[in-house]
Amino acid sequence: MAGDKHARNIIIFMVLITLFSGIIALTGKEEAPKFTKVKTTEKESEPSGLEDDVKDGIHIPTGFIADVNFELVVTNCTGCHAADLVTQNRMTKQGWEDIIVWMQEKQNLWDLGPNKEKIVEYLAKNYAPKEEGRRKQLKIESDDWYVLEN
Amino acid sequence: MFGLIVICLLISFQSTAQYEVGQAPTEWKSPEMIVHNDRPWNIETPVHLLDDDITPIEKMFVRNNGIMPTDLDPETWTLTIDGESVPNPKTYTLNELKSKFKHYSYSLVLECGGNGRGEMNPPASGNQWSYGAVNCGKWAGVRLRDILEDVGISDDAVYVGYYGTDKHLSGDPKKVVISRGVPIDKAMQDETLVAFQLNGEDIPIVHGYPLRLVVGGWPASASGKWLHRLVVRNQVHDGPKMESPSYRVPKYPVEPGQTVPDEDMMIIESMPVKSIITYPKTGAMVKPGQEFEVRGHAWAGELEVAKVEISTDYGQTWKEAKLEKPANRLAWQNFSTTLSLDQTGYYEVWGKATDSEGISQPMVVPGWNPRGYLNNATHRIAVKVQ
Repeated sequence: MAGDKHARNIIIFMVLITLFSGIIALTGKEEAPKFTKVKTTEKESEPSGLEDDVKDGIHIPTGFIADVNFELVVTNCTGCHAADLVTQNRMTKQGWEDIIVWMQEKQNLWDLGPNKEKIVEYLAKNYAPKEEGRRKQLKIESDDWYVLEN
Repeated sequence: MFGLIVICLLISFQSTAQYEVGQAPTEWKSPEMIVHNDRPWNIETPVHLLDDDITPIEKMFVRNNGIMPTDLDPETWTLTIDGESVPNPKTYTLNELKSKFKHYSYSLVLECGGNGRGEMNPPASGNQWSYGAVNCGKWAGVRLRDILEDVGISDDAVYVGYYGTDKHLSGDPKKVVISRGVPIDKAMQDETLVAFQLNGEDIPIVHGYPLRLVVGGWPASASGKWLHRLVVRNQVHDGPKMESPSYRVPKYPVEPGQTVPDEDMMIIESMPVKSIITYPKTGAMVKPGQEFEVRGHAWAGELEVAKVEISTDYGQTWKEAKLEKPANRLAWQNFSTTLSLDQTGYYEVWGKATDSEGISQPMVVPGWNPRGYLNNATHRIAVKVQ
């Protein structure tokens, strides 16, 4: 049933797209630039569609903090591996840079061009190390304490 | 009669469920498992689930580096042995391996080299394992030594490297995900198996079906899954993730956060002495004077554990626990003791194992290293007396 509904939604969506592009083609005024470099990635406020999935400052599908340039991180980092591999880590700017270079040398990560600096900055700001001391305190949530019966 | 057939069908369906190609391991692993990553799969076991002597398969951690293979037909599966130190390369079918060589079974500790990484400070990159990337399963198969003797290897053999059929995360079909291995001496040990069974069943896909190299006591990355080729090298194997900094630590003690040149890093071999408290689960509340059992497992890589001690006062005083012998070499050892605490308040119960050479677990996180390997600090649970 859910599948039927999903398929219907896709069909409606495609019909709308066709109609919409038809209208644009007919009016012919604002011709959409074809392969012109609009430098979309240079503009930080360029709508990417990913903002729609942001709730309470978190991009829900990936778990990334929705700070400036998080779209670049979603696009470039989750093609090969899950976002968890990033979000569970805490590193300095140098640390993030090193891991990106390692992925480029050993794991087929592509050339990030000018986006590399922005990605590193985003990661170093949002996933920076915290001073944890020589050993962390044990954390037991209040609900997790239980009575041990013999 | 019809009912019996239905029951048989149900049972066979259940037992094959975990071997379905493309199935997420979370569909059949214990619901309490911690998923660090689902592409590739990296799943940790909460320590209290590791209470069994032999870890049940649904409670075994998963550390994958790539995407699991989908072409896993046991009828056509082969294992090829070649490399510089193999004058006459040879290929065996799965059935030939099973029928030609004697079968052996051992309980073997497999621990991820990065188990405990989550406590590294400054943080080290990678999956942030707590204490549960370890297990002791009962592996059955044939000895790697018997295979190598049948193939015939030359005197210059130094290392054995494995190749599996998993797929690289980038989708590049030519790229090898991981190809590690062990020195020839370790390869020739009795307990080094080319295994086709785990805990009496076919190995689940996520753990390496249909064939896995199993090397107990060393970083679990030495135990290659989906094994289809072994290379006997006349030099240290140089497959992906043998090179620095993967599965390597500095040759000398370094300051936390220090940059270490690649040439100053060495391959991790035998894992260090370690123990976990599997009962009670952390967060236990007991009454003053209530006696309760504390138990768990201890292991020490290539060595045996000589002693396990328990402290309830942050290591000021220690009580020796009862320690059992391992089921075989490279298996973990059970320990247990009984505690009772009179004064109400908050306690931590710490476990400290000492190996047969007198080396103990440290009470703080030991030697920081760039990739956060080998944290064998004492495991701790919290207990309240009230």
